[in-house]
Amino acid sequence: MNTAEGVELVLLGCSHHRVPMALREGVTLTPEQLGAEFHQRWRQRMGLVESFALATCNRLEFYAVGPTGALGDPDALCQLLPDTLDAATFKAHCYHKQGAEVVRHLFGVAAGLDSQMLGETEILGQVKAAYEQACRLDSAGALLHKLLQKTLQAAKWARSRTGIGQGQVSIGNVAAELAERVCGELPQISILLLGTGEVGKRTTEALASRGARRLTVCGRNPLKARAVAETLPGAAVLAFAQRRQALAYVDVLIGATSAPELILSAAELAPLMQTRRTRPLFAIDLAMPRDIDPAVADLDQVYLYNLDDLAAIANENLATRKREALRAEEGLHERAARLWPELSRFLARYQS
Amino acid sequence: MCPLSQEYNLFWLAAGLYLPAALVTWPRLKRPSGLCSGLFWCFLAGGLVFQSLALYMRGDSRGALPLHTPFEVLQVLSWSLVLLTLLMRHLFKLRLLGSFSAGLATLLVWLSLFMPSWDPAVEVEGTAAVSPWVSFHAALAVAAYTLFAVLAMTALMYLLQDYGLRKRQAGAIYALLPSIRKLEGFNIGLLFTGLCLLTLAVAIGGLNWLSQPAQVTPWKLGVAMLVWCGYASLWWQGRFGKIRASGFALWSVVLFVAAVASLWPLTGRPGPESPVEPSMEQAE
Repeated sequence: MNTAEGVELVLLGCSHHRVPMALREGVTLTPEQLGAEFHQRWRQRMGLVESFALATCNRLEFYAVGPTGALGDPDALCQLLPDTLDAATFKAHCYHKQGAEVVRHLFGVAAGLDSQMLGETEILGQVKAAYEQACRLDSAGALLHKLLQKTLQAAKWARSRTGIGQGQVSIGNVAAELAERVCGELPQISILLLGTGEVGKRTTEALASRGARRLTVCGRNPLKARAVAETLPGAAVLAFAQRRQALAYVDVLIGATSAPELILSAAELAPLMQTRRTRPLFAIDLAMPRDIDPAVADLDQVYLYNLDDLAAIANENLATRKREALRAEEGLHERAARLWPELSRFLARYQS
Repeated sequence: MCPLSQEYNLFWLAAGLYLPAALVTWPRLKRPSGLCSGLFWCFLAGGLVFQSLALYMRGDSRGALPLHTPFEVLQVLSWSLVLLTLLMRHLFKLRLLGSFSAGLATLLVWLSLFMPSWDPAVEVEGTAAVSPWVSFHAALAVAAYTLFAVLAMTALMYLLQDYGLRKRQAGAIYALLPSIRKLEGFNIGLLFTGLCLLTLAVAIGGLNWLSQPAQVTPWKLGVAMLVWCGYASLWWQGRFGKIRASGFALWSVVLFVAAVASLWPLTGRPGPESPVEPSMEQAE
């Protein structure tokens, strides 16, 4: 490396913020595609001293420590990347950051502040995995080691000391959380999906993804019910005529039929609830027109929610996360500002 | 330093540790703060140690179990509540029960310390003067009251969770509270066990009254029977589905408040003309 020129910390990348959904697939790479060979070529071609790549489904970012202007041209980088990458899209939507701005950005990314779903936790694991890969490939040097270790610490601080991850922000996850509040641990509770509509299916999938195992699908059309059951892990099919008997033991009832009339009335449910003391029922009515008589909400041990209720909770949680995100951002910026002089010393050392 | 002031210092130390234990959990509900639960259990266990020492000294000076005044009964009740919470936390596996119990123990301890009139000077006969059956009666009654205290806490948690679900609330506290189903199961189990113990305590106390009627005033007997009837009636209504689950929880809390209030007549001293009274407070 030419010691006469400056050394800087730079970032070149693109994310869901800039790349439209339809084009995003084109700028997705797997961590395996960014292996040792890529890093070696990248560093040799551009004279880098340290390199780190972060590839997720919504984000493709390249961090490097190298001569000033080394990463200024996305063309040069794209030539090194696999052919599967849509270079034109990447170049058209990429952003370029340098210096302290890179630190602030990475802190925000790892904390989930820059994620599509604000405050999500998966990104922290992805950053950690990318860092582990960089360690294995020996592509990170003193500066990036420091930066990434501090990034993980800062992200953990944001998660534990602010409410950016509090509450669920998707309808399915809100339903799953409510089911846990009513009935307890999801693997132990039985769920009956009435109808084969898409919203009902997705909600049941969300419950299954959080551990629900005792799933039953019940629809007027047995073929459709079977088709839906096949997409859910271990789900059984129940004849529509037997739905009332099932109510004696079901913990979560999801109404998602397209029936024009009520499927379950309060008068039908009241005597059944008498037979299941200490076993509350969580009923989710996702159908329009409604499947479940709103009067069932007045019954003892019955908790009835509809789509609007779930959406209201999800929106409320999102609003809370947004408020907390401002606080987290402030804290992360402070941490980034404290770290930057230390990183600058590494840059100065490289330069000299 | 006289023994009495030593005891009080220890009671105050215990109260001083229970208070942060009761407070340490709540900021986490508003915003995760990273405070480890170890701190909570340390405060609680520390408070228990000092309270145990204080109660031991009080019992030693009395030559009997310290259950002679409302102050002493409240201290013993809070002590057994904390002990049960510490011992059974892995068995119960009820999130936030420790925090609720710490809150109640703190309330009972501080209330009793701030009311000097609840700890009047009491003349007590030695251990030899008291029938072991009376001691057994008192021990059972304390155990039953402890279970009713835990029941009041789980019932309060049930009411909170039920309120949150019915009002579409989704704050952090609701996500941390145990499920409706689990809480209801606990409420019924705790009431049944507590009622069994109280029934046994009342039966033994009744036999004692039959053998020595002058030692128990009708007023005391009536209050004890009222408390028993209250809990028995609640159990019967719950068992046969005569009451809504939320009503069951509400009455569990109300009955516990009434049961604590009944400590005044139950620990009351006999009139000067009456012989010394070996009832619940003379269990020792």
